[in-house]
Amino acid sequence: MIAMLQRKAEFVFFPLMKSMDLEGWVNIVYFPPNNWEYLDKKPKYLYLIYPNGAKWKTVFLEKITFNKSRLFSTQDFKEIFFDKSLALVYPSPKILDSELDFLPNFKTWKTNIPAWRASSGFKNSHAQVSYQSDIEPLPEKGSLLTFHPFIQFSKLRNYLVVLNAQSNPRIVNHSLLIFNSKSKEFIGKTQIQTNSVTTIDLDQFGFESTDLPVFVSKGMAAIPFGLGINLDMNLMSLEHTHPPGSFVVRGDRNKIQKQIKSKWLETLKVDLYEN
Amino acid sequence: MKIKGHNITDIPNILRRKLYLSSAFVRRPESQSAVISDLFIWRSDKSWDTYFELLDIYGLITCDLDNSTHRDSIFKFFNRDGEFLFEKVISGNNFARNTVYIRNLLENSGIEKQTLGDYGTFSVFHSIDKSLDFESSLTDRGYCGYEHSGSNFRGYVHGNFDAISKFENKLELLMGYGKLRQSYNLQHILTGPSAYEIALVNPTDKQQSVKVKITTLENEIYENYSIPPRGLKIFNVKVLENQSSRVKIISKMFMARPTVFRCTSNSMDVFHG
Repeated sequence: MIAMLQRKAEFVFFPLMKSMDLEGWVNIVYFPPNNWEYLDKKPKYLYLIYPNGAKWKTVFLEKITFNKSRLFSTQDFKEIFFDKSLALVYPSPKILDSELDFLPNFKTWKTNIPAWRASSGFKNSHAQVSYQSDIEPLPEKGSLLTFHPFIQFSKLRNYLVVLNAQSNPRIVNHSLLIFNSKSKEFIGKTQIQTNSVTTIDLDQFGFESTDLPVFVSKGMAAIPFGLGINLDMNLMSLEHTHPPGSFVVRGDRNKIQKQIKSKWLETLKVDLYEN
Repeated sequence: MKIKGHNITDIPNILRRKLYLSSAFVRRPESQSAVISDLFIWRSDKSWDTYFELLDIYGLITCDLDNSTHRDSIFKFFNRDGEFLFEKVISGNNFARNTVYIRNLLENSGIEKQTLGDYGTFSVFHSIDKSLDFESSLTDRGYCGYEHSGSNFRGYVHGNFDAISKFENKLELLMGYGKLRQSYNLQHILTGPSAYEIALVNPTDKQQSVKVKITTLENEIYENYSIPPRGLKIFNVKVLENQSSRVKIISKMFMARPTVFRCTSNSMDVFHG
């Protein structure tokens, strides 16, 4: 909440993600969450922006006028756009070039109290699942530490979905280390990528219902989600975990977040497993 | 040109902000040693069950889960009108994750079902070994899982507010409200065929009058509710096939962001709106 009140970047992106055989969707709303913080009602140019490793490629979607919404699905676009399972929808105030060296940062719709979001999620022929989405480009030098209490143990599959978007379009591999938070036991290691959505099967690691997995990346910040899908494919759950700084309010949250991360990285002996 | 360090073009924004955010967005608790919790939503009826993922938050902050057994969590339950029902202390475990089945706590409370009702709010206050560094206070904005129709499948949603603090035995509601009514536009287009249940908590210390505007292609419907502090109102919106709706919540609350339950003929989805 406190962070929400601080001045942030005045632009935002909305993710359109794919995961396995699930299609992604995003419903963009050009009306602000509150009636006092944002007054610009000029039409915006909606773009789909995806990385090809060297550049951000842009695809003009349409002009959106104030008070309208627009639903996009991954099915609406060529598969090549989702080579990294991620594209971003951006409400640009102006026409964009077809290729960009960095994500655009023109001032566009944005609020802080609360944050202006879209609905994003996944769907199949039986069900859809949602979360309230927005993403500001993550820093190139970042890290991830998150605790994951979403694994379920009935007839379903459990996944970790890792979302990263940075201003630089490079695709870089990083390690994601998996530990048991209680025993500190090293469970496994997998790869995640910048400017991508990576889906990781969690059932392969044999966690039990009282285990709290902890996921660590020293090289990449990310937004981690728990995705559960029942075997009949008609029930899905999607929610992101909190960063460790969300365990506290007041005071200096940046400092305490750094403190929490450094304690866990040291205790888990992360450096031993990095290479 | 600048006035008191502000660009003159920013002045209208600053004035609007002062007008609408006329008190603290989230109040500081009376003591830094206070612990804070969201007001989570519990539902327990024929259709819904609630689970809470109880984690040792202090142990996660300090990287010390070895001493979790020395730490307690106090669950405090309120009914839909925000009236205190009961509390349950859950001692720390020798494991890291405890999925608490809320129906069990309600049924074992000794309170009649009629008094409990079908839904309400609850908070989870964690014990701390000592005050946190950097003048921070611990908060639980954790995760609730909602199960529909005995499906044995939980849809998870995270906490939304730093709503209520506890210091010694005193509870204090922290979320702010203004002098002017303001709109909260649900950031989700309701689509059919589906039955939505929209759950709005009052995390302020004052009874809140709430007007809800539901807009479809054909018409606009207005509904009025009054939600006591710590209370919860769940209102229904049915959306027919190939139709859509929008919801606007008008109140003095700074954060009138609800939790949304969406049910279709054979599926469900739970998320923040």
